[in-house]
Amino acid sequence: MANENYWLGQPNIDEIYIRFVPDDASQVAALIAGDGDLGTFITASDVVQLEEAGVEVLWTVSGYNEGWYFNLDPELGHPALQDLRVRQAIALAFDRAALVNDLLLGMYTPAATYWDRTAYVDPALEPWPFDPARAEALLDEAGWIDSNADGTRDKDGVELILRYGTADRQIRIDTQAVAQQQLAAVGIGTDLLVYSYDTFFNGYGQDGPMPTGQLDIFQFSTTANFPDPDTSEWYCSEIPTDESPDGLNWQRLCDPELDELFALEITQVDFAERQQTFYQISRHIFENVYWLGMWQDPDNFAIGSRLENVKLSGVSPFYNIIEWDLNP
Amino acid sequence: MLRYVVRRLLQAIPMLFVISIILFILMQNMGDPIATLGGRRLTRSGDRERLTRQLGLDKPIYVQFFYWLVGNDWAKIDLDGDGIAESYGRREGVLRGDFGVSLVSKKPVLEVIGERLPNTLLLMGVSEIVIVLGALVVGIYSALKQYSVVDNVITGISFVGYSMPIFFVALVSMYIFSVNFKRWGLPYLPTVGMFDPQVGKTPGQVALHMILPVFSLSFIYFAAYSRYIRGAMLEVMSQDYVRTARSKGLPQWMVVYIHAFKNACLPVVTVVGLDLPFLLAGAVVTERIFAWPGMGRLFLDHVTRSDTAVVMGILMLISVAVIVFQLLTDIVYAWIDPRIRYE
Repeated sequence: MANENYWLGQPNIDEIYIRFVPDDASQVAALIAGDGDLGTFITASDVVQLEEAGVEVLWTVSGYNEGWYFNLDPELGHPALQDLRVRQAIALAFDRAALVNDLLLGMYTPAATYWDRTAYVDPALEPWPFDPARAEALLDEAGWIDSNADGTRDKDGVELILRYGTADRQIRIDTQAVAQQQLAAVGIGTDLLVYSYDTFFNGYGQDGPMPTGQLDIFQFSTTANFPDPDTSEWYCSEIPTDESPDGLNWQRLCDPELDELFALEITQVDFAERQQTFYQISRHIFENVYWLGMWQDPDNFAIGSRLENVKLSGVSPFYNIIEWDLNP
Repeated sequence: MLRYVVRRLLQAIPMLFVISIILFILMQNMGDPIATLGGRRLTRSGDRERLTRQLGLDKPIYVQFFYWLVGNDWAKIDLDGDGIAESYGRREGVLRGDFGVSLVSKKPVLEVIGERLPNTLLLMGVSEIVIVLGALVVGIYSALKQYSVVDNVITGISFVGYSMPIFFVALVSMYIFSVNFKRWGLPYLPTVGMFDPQVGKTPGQVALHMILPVFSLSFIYFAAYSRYIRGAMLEVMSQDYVRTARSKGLPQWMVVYIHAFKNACLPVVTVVGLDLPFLLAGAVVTERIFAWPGMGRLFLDHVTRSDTAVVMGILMLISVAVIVFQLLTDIVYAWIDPRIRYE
């Protein structure tokens, strides 16, 4: 209900009724038929149909980017991932631009860094290009060759087969299938694992697959403390252990140089200085392929033809709701 | 008959007890309720320990079942984790009408179910009436006009409906009668929900919003019922007593509806009696597609979040309904067919 005592004045709309519509197709039908004025989490495949029906789809920066984390624990992770050349080869062997075009109908943008679409990412950074030949050369250089002619590279008797897990959302399952095919083309094998959400995001104390090192690659959409760029998940001290099971450094990476940069940025109050520090951080993570971007993950909202004056913001999507109005 | 009914009711008590044990054990393997309590945030270890203790999940399964059944307000429990049981529990147990509190909404289970049950009874009850009445008309007509053009057409449509998945029928009907009818300038039906919030939850609005979900459910299940009735009527119409009734000069309607139908409806009573309890479970897919706030969606939402209390409440409600409706079915048998007597 409208707050008559709101400090900016009386809202134009008296009441907003929120209805939960679990089915995507039903939500689209309701928006097209005019039974709903505002919809959310529209899939890429539904955007065209909505726009043709006169429903406007607005996109906002959410701070989230979909990407791969790598298990960089020397004991629990695959030994190949300890070699930067292998991680670079993975980045070069997977055509994420084509993935975004095909599976997301070109409506999303490939992500380069963890901080894409914020002011804290080095603007010179572009997503790793698709170059399978260079990927193969790097793998050869790193000593991973297919010595037993089974189609998968190996070294010192260890097959280059990575455990790749994600939560059971269809777009991620589709991404797994594409990645498996493209990585196999350069001799990298993958075991695909799909988890329900509550299992996938379990912590170390609950034997979650990510923090306990059961996966080599794990994919989900992530953000820092948006809109602030700070995050604690890259600290060495955040590696989860029995004594400290709540640590958020699930990739189990310990990079002293990265630790120093994060320790510096949290002390900086001058925006320009802090921005430069984050440029270094984003470049360091990018060049070392500690995190591989899949796509930038914006929020989207479908605005029916009756609703006017809607502007959206990533942090507070409905910040100007007082100005919204309905045309008869 | 009274002794029979009393005996059946007394038999139901141990049956419900056994059912509740089986369901409770199955629920333990449904997932981790603590994991879902934090929403998008990770449940930290300290919070997990505290919640596990407060919710009684650290107790052995037989203790958890016992507390669920009789409550724990008579027993002291250790809430603060210091090893000393200092506080009395707050639960009264199922036997005293307390099904616990939902882990998701923090409301009493009976309140959570009570919010949705009328919506489901409305939708499923109307659907069942439409299915049974429609199937009666069509089934009797098909039996009387066996192999006629109309019979073949009805049979064909019935099988088409029966073989279609419910979500397909629901979405197609939504797109035709709501989206496209509006686009073509024809009178159109609403897509989702129970009512238009701009108009309010009036009987007219609810009835209007029920048309498509009832149609979708009816189209699927109508085929099965009409075939039962058709088959039963055909069998009965070939009996000697029906031939005798005709030869005595009774009008057709009396032969069909007074003599034949009464005997033919026994299998239908069986099927309806088996279906009625499951009306309470709602129709998960239909409710999801039409955003109808019913028991089906409630069950699915709470199962996925391992909300044992609500899921047990719903399952026990259905179990009681099965027992009660089976008893009612037997009583209706005896009423319809005087030859059936229970000792």
